[in-house]
Amino acid sequence: MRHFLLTVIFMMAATSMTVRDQMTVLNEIFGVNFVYDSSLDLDVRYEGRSMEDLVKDGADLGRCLQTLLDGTDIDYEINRKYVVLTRKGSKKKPKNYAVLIEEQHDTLSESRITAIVDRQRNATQTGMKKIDGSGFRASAAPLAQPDVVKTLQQLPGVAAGTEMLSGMYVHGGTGTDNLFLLDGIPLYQVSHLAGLFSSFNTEIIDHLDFYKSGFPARYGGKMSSVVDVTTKEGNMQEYHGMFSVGLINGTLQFEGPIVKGKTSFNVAMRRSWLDILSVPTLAILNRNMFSPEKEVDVRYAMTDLNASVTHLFSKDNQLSLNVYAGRDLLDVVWMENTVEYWEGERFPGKNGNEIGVAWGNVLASLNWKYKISDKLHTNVIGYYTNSNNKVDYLLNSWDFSAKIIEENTQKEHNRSLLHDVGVKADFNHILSEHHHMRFGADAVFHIYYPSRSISNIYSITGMNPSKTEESVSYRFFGNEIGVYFEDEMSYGDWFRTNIGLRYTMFNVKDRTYHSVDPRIAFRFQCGSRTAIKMSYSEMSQFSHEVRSMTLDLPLTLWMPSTSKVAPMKSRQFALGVAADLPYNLFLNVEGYVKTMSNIMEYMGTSQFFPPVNDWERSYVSGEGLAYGVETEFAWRTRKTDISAFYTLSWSKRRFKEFFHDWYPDRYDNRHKLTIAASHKFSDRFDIYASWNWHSGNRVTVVSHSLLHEGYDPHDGFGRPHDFQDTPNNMKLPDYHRLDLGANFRKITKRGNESIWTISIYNTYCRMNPIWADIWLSTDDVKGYKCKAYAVVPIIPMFSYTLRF
Amino acid sequence: MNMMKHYISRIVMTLAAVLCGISCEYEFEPEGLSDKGMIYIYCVPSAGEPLEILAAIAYPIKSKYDFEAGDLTLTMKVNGEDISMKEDLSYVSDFIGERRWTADDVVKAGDVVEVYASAEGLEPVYSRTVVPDPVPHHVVSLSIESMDRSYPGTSSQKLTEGLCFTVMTDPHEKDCYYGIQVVRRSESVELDDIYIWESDDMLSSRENDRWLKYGSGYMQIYEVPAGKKGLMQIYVKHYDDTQWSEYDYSLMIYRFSEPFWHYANSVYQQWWRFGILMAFSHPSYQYTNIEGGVGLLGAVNVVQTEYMDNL
Repeated sequence: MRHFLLTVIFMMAATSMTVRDQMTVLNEIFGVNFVYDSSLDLDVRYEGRSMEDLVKDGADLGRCLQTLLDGTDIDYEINRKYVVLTRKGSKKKPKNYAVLIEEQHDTLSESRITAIVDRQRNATQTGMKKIDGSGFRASAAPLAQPDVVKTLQQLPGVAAGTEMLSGMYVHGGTGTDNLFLLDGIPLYQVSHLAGLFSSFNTEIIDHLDFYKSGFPARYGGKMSSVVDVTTKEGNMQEYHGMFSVGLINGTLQFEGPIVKGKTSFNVAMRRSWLDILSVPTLAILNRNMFSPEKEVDVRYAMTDLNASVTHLFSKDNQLSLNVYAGRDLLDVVWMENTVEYWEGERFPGKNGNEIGVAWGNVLASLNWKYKISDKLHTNVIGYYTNSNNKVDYLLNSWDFSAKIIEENTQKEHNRSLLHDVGVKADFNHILSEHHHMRFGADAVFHIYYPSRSISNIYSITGMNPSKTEESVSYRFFGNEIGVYFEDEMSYGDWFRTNIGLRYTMFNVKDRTYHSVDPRIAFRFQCGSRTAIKMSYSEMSQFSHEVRSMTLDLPLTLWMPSTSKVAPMKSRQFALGVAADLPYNLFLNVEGYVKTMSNIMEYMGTSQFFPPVNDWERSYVSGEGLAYGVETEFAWRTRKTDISAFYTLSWSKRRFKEFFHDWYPDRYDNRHKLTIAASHKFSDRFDIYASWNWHSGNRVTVVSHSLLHEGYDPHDGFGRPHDFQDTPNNMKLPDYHRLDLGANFRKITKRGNESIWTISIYNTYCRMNPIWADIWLSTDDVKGYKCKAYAVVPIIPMFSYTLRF
Repeated sequence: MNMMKHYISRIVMTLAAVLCGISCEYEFEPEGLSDKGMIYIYCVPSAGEPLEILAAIAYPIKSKYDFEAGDLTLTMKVNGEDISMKEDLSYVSDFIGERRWTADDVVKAGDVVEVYASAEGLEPVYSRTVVPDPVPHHVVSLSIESMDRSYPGTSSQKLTEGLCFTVMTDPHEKDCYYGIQVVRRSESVELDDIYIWESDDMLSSRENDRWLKYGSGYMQIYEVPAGKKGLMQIYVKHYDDTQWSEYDYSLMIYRFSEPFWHYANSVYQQWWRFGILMAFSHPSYQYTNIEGGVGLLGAVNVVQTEYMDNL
């Protein structure tokens, strides 16, 4: 039946050759819908080769569109499921949009169409990467699970930090300065399982905009990057869903109409299995393998939930409720049950420790999108978001001697809680064909609530137990108000500007900070395929995620800028060239220079959780400097996608408390190269490969020594007097790994799609070091030993997904 | 069921063994480390005291003794004028190659001290510091408080007394960095030991009460922001009163230059960073203000209180 319909359509297309007809053919062949400026005349006669013939000759969608629209005044952009058609050279915002396949119009709200077209127009900015949600779902990925942060880590200009952790160090940033937005609302904790997965469930992602430079004025609050994730609205017509089962976690997603054509829902959740495996396994091990006195227990569980309800009052009036909740729990118990006997009497006791870590977010927002007129659209959001970290520690020591029991129990409880309650309003105003304005305001009330308590109970037989307990907690109230204005203008076909300004006022206790951040972007169009882009932007950050370790673990506190800790600020200039080359090739080259001020480094002595009491004294303030060139080179056809990303960069720090001059940052990776390739052999089988290489991270080690007269490396006597010539003075061995993956797809008898995904992380088992040390050695002819320590081997994974 | 347990155990053990077996350490050739020697200087002029300086050529780890350097020459200036330095040939250092120079000149508050050192084949070094003013007496108060608290984890030791030292800094003052040491003497009236213990405040211990090995003992160090009142406390704990009553006690109150503060902080931080913690800590680096080399040119001004025997 399907074949017959296609034949009929092709025959119709062959006889009635208008552009619109050919678009219908493309819709049937490639499954894409068309969103277009309704003022375009698509009923003009098309004289060229039919789309059917082109496809038979192996042409992809891009080539078909190029052929179809050649000689017309229509420009196109492929946006995964959609092709956006606009008037060539026109910089005006179309008054109305139309959708080719009207049956799908209900699922395409006005705001969605606006978003699709706006994203195309936002190409004025440098350092922007658009990733469509279907892109995550279509390809295989490391650990058999597509991941937002791991995808972004591959991009040029982004350092990944420590292996497997979701660190993102953008253009020399600190890793705590990335603005993650989920439907416009900040998300503070973006990692599960110490960064193995990010908090974004790719099943519900509609699209993602990632900015490394050229930040539009509507974004503020963080210093180095913006990751703006928009989730999918539920299907208004039909029920659809999926479930996926992997080695360590599972995903479930379901969407559909509540009132057909009016109200829909979309729910997705993930849950890890590790605890289900680890708890019984360790119970068995405890019973069979460890000594009966030992009790070892490790439990990890993560879960997250995304839910949204969308209601269309009309095609210009939409209300949606979005909720996200994520939680991770890690419990480690290492306890030794001791039993002593004295004169036939039994005395049981315990020695050991317990560590409990929990972290997560809750986010809820109510989003109203309304088209006030053809020229003015608004989006108003009220929201609540939080970040909640908790670290508990218990140490129990028990000693028995001649019927005297001495027991000491120390408990430590650390917590970092941040609540944000806010409202924001954005307006899009289309003033004229060449003039588009955005303006808006947001107000956030932050409550920073760090706390720490320690208690100690000491008891000894025959004496009253002594208990010492101390706790400290603070509440800082921060008010952050931002106002912005963006003005996008085009001057003929060759020059476009996006000039904006963002003002932010941040008030905490008796201190108020003001910042005015200019955001300027220019785009010079050189011919139809090449553009030169330039941008300058300043960003300010008033909330600080302070930590005492460099690892991306949830052992952090969110703290405000205070009278002693000034807001962090970045200034960045970027210049780039983007070119669509012949033969489906694409080249983008960008250079950047970025300075950062008031960035923080920890100078205290806490080993895991940062101090709560008088925390400002434990941090020192310094500067950062980053510059480099990044290149993206890609060859994309309908079946094959090969991309190469290369970065040449420098990242430096200067903290006068450490060193009098600039020194390299820990993640100063001079070269970074990623080559990713995917190929779709058929509708049933596709493969993926990615090779990542970068210069090693840096560590601080001893570089010089004064040898002790009686030095003996074996018994440690007479330690030498060691020095480091500069901080971060040694480069670790280069990092590289190869990931492979394959999807085996099948349409079931009921018309559902089943997918087996197999992936191998670090295929050739390169042991990439996470740490290294150097020391004197009398065993070695060199006189020293330099060792690297690595922990992540080859990791094969698989998952099974069913879409219905 | 037993069979299943057996299989699960075997599978987990195998997986664990594979992971542990593959996780590894290996040797590599370090990149970025210098193979040249470096001049080391340690000099902390103290107001009212003659100058003394320690210097050496630190060898690079990467090439150990396999590097060449000429003899070390040293020049010091006070307020721009050369000071005659004399090598103390009787000095016996614990460290190979470390030498000591002294001068008869005495420095005073406000003096600018400069050090130049060079050796053939090595980068010459330079540093400069200013001797700080003494602790402002008129704004200092000293008191003794009874604490009588046990310290977590050290149950058998009692904290019984605290020496509380308060300083008020001027709003326009610079170098508001202070240190205190407790010195004790026995009946023989000779300086014996210098005592320092951690604070009993569990929440701020280590973070706010920092100390440094200085001279023959330890010094607790503080930064008091300009224009603020700073309370510095040393807690004294002991096992019994007998031990305590044998001695007289006195406070050494230091004021030191900013580089000395940074140096003291970094040394203290490094003391707490070890092993794997070092790997994931922020740059754990020993501060230096010796341009082209390593070490410290700091400066202190110290006053000592009367001995107190009624603690």
